Amino acid sequence: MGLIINKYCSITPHKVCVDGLKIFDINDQQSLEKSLVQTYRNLELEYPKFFKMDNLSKLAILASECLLKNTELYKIADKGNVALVLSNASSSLVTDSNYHLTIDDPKNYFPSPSLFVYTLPNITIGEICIKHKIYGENIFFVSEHPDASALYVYVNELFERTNTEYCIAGWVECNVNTYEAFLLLVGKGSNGDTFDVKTIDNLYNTK
Amino acid sequence: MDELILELKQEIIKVLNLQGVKPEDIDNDAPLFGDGLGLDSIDALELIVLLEKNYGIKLEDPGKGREIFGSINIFAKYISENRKK
Repeated sequence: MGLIINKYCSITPHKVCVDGLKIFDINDQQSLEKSLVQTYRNLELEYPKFFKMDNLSKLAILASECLLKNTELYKIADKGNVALVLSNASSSLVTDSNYHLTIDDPKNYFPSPSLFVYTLPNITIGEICIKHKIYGENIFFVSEHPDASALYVYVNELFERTNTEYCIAGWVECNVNTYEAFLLLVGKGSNGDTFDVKTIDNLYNTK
Repeated sequence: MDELILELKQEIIKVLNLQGVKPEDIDNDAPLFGDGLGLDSIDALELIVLLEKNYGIKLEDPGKGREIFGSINIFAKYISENRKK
């Protein structure tokens, strides 16, 4: 039995899509912060911790919500067999810079603990795991562009070598100019798009 | 003291990103941690930074925060008695 894409979603500055269908528009004239909060409200999320996160983690939480909502995974309490494989280009650079501002001036040296905790990109994985009680394998790659070939190879390895039954995989990028999230829910089966390099590229390029 | 209490509530809401919480929602005697505002350990560290940055109070023993952050009233009293700015 091969791997299939059970569901996919994307968040860009203009819209939020699930399985290629737009579920709502985003006002692209507003700031990233406002867009993220607008998306949070539209998804009717009740998760106060969201407001304490940096923008990268907020984006990842919103994308994971779009991906998992109304799936059987959403209801399963123990998600020990759900893996996470994420990647982006800018790592946590925006938050790293914001944190640096709190320690840059020796006369105004007040390191911010709440910024410091987000100065690693894999914290976004941790936030998704906490929100959805996921305990499986996880990794965060930093690469210049989304790499469908690497994603395909790594996710297949996970299914072959570990107890992985589902994998949330994709791209969560947030920099000073723009942002985008593109997540796939990969599983075993035959009803769905085949999980292969060509399909991943097609879905990403038509998001 | 009332002025300091209001200022403190506004600062806590801002620094800890307590979305949707207004100063009047924070009970002066309710615990800030646990059942109160549901703050966590990172929030405690932010409050320690706030103490030093806004009031010039450096907590040498972070464990003391548990006592100082008992409630808004306790927090404000500690600041008024120890502030350096």
